Amino acid sequence: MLSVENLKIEFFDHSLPETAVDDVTFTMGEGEILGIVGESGSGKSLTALSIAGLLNRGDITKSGDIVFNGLNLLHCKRSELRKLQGKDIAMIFQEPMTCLNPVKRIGWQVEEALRVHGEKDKFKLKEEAIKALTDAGLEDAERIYASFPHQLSGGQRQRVMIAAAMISKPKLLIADEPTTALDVTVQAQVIELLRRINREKKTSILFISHDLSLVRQLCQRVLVMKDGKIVEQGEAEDIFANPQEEYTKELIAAIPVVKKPN
Amino acid sequence: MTNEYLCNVQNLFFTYGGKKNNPTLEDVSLQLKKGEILGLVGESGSGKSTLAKVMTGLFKEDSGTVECGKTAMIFQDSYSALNPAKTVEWLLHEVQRLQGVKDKATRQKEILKMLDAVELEEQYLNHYPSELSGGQRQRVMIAMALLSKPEVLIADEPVSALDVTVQKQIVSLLKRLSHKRNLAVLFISHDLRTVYELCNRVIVMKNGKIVEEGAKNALYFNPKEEYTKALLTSAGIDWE
Ligand SMILES: Nc1ncnc2c1ncn2[C@@H]1O[C@H](COP(=O)(O)OP(=O)(O)OP(=O)(O)O)[C@@H](O)[C@H]1O
Ligand SMILES: Nc1ncnc2c1ncn2[C@@H]1O[C@H](COP(=O)(O)OP(=O)(O)OP(=O)(O)O)[C@@H](O)[C@H]1O
Ligand SMILES: [Mg+2]
Ligand SMILES: [Mg+2]
Repeated sequence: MLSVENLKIEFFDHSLPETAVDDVTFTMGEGEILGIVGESGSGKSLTALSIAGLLNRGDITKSGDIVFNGLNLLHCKRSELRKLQGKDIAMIFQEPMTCLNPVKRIGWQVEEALRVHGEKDKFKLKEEAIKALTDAGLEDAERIYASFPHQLSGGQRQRVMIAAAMISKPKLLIADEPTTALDVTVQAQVIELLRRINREKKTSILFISHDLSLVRQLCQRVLVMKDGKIVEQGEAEDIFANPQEEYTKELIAAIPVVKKPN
Repeated sequence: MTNEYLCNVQNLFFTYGGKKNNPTLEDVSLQLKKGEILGLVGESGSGKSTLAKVMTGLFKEDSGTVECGKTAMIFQDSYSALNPAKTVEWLLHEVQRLQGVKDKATRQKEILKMLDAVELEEQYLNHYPSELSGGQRQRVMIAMALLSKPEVLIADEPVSALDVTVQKQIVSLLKRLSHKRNLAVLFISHDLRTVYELCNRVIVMKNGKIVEEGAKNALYFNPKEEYTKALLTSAGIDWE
């Protein structure tokens, strides 16, 4: 369903060109949940953004191929890309504040994807939005619907993003650190929600996270990134039980242990 | 303020405009001693960030008292907290300029030391905040907060965007500073494992109130409140 081949992303906005993503190759099947873990700054978000078609700046060059259901997203027309965005491919961003519009109410923003793709009925829009907010674990969905982004807590904003991405029932959901601002009980709810849409709607999920135990619980396969490259990939259980690369071993060893003192 | 406490919050009430009958913070009291690292965990939306903002004077309390020594804050949302028009280098010089450090070479030396401590490479000095990854921005925030040489550090989810190896490094940096410089830290986090690793004492919040508080081992292995038990269970911690 998705195949990324030799993806390379370079920046030219400083004196020296910087390669942020270097020769990244992987595939994802329909209904698969793939995890990406790795070093901070290793290119996880940039990889995610380019799959979502959201990395279009003059000072960046991208090369390689990203093929989604037969369409090459790196080389296709803008209009073809726009047809997929928010509908077949949706993204949950790492920092909600950067992509929520500060002067629009939450409800309007959650409905956005449906509106862009042609839904006009106001009642239907609101009904769907409230349902998506509730599904994302927000109990007071009505209040949240009427709020502005700055009036919400970090975790509430994160769930708004989740609702906005899920509302269009995408085929591919890219989730960049979707649970970092959530308390563990809500985290568990969100993971359950991701599992459910994966099971019921066959949504494929690209799940980027620093939380290795969540990745282990949720993902079938995992990629480990460092310095813009994939250093290890394989079945989640194999990687956690039997990491091959030094960096993967360090990651696993760095998880703090809570043990009852004697 | 007594000498013993660097931070003393008593019977704090706070409500965002327009919701008078349902306070965001309700009768919150807490103390922070020199060199103490206090963990603050709890439900999303329970008022943790609001408490941090009232403690740093960003919002004014409705009633109660807040007394804190020289405080620096690391914000949960690093993107909106950093001036997008300035480079990392400028930002790191500016915090020190505001402290009255006039000599540029001295400031530069401190910056390099700090970058090393937060494991951020020098090459990012000429980047703008928008040209950094989430975790790199978070480390810039930590560096800025520490360069202002605070007595009290209020850190709102400071390591959530960092990979675990860097998290570990920051945790040991904070431990070191609390030992050496007597820095008091209020550490707000959803990551109960990191809180356990770092903190001496832990507070649990729900619905604007403190529901449980205790030394870390007592709280993690002998929790009294249902909510605390639910949190520990969700985190996969075997508290029984
Ligand atoms: N506009 C830019 N100019 C130069 N370098 C950039 C720019 N934007 C991002 N980078 C660099 O690209 C690299 C990859 O960034 P990316 O956001 O993909 O990292 P990440 O793996 O998501 O990290 P994190 O876990 O911290 O979120 C980083 O080193 C970052 O500094
Ligand atoms: N500016 C504001 N105006 C009105 N209500 C607000 C504002 N900021 C936050 N709130 C509300 O106050 C409550 C507490 O928010 P706060 O940000 O303190 O929570 P938190 O404990 O930090 O949550 P999280 O773990 O999700 O970051 C939430 O219900 C939130 O919706
Ligand atoms: Mg990222
Ligand atoms: Mg918060």
